[in-house]
Amino acid sequence: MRRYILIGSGAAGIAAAEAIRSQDPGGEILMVSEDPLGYYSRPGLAFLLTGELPEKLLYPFREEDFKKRLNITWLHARVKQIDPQHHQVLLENRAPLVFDRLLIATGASAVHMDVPGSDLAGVVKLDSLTDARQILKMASHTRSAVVIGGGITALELVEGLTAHKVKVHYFLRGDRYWNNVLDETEARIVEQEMIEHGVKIHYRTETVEVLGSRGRVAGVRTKDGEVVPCEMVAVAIGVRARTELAKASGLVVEKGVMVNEYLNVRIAPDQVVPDIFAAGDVAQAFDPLTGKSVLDTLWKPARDQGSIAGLNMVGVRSPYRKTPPFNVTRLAGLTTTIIGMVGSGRDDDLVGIARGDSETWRQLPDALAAQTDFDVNRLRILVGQDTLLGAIVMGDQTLSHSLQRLISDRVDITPIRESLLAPGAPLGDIIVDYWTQWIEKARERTKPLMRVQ
Amino acid sequence: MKKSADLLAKNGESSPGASVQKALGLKSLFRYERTRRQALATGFVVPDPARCVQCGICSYNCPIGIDIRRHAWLNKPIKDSHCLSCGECVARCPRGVLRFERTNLFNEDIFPSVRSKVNTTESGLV
Repeated sequence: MRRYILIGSGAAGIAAAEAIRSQDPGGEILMVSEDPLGYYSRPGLAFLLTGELPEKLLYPFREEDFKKRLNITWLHARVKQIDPQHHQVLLENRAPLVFDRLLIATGASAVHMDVPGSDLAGVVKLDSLTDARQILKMASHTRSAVVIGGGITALELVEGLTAHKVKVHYFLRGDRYWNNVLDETEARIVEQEMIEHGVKIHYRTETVEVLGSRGRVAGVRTKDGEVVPCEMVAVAIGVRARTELAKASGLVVEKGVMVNEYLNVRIAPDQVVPDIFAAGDVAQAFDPLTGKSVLDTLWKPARDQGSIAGLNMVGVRSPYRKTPPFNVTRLAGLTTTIIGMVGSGRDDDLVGIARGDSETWRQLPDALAAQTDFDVNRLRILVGQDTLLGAIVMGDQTLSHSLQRLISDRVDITPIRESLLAPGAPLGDIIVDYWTQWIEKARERTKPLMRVQ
Repeated sequence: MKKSADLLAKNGESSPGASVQKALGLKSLFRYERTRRQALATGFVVPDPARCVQCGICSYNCPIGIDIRRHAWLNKPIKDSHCLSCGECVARCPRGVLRFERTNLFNEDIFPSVRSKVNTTESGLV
């Protein structure tokens, strides 16, 4: 009987366990996790903060999923080191464990803000359920808080604290929210929503010191010398792969743990370890399309990699194929889908940007969208020479599925390129018409006898 | 409904036939509700697992306690016979994971007459 050890209990670890179990009903699966609370939805923490979700709903699996369906043994412990040669995992305060196949899925954690006073009580982050519990506990007796950071997690902290009637001062380093992804209008929509909820946004503001009084946060000093009094400082300035274990075990680490196409780790740049794998936020996976190794810190790649690693651990050789970046999030109450390249145009292939904020795509006859009560609907498409490079869909999501396929399948869009870029073009109609034609052709190609509905 | 009201106001400002368009705008307000009802009545909920992060808002808001999140994880449509197709989960999902798809039981457009009317009304607006 084979023993699989999975280090980490996030999306990648769980996906790996499911993949292993689908192929090997008899093997022993041991999940070693540092988080005493096990597998819960980390993205869901944002909604725990806003009060939209009770804590017990954060757990997607029931007891019997682990015990019966997946038959996983849990171990709450910290792994100190891996000994690849002897197939051993060294634990803190416990006897070492022997494995046949090992997965490193330790994830990523919030970057620590390196300024004086950042270890005072009241400086918080949003990484784990423990953090969320702490924030909720503090929120009830916090009058004002400073939130630092320009991305999704920072916004989640702002929304969570605002929901608990905490006066929020939101520090942005630049001129607008999330400026490497959103364009100005999109950013202003989000900012406007925050302002309406009483958030004070401080642009071009950097923190140089967290001020304390009797060991607790009392305020923040900015680079310009301004002092903002507050009782809490919430920091979300990015995440970093948790590579300490891999480093301590002599594996090759850059920004993340370096893995090959089959998600095997390496002990030297040209030497892979056949029995040890890495997946999820910690893994820096090789992308054959670009020839580069990249880090992803998103749910979907984590789950995909976990599944692929699981299959490879059982012995079903499966390469990992990276898909174009794809993320969905809620910004200022608007469901927002970010597909492919949308940042500040580094791509030479970019021909133009098509924007639309019209109502038209909501009126499409076959749009069975029930999620339509958004005040704002916006669409931005990055049009390349032959393909669509990326898109942002804010609000109504009717178009995002078709855009996702057009982008990820690199569908040739030369026939509609000009019309997309024409001023005031009805983007919704163009995309849907083209998409309908394309999908019908695709269906005919794959299943000639299938009836097209 | 704020949306439609905005639309109305916008149209009133910008065009000479404001009153006519206003009336049409008002109609579109009901049209929206009708399409929505239609979608609810003739559809079932289908997840897009790539979008789902298992937060559980859908399961929490299901009035009859279907574990929708699980369907999304397993990429299964919610064809549970108990589903009321009330649309709560679809409307509340923060990531647009869930959508209505037509059951199309009879393989035909069930409301062709309503549809064609709707489309003419709409083209007058835009």
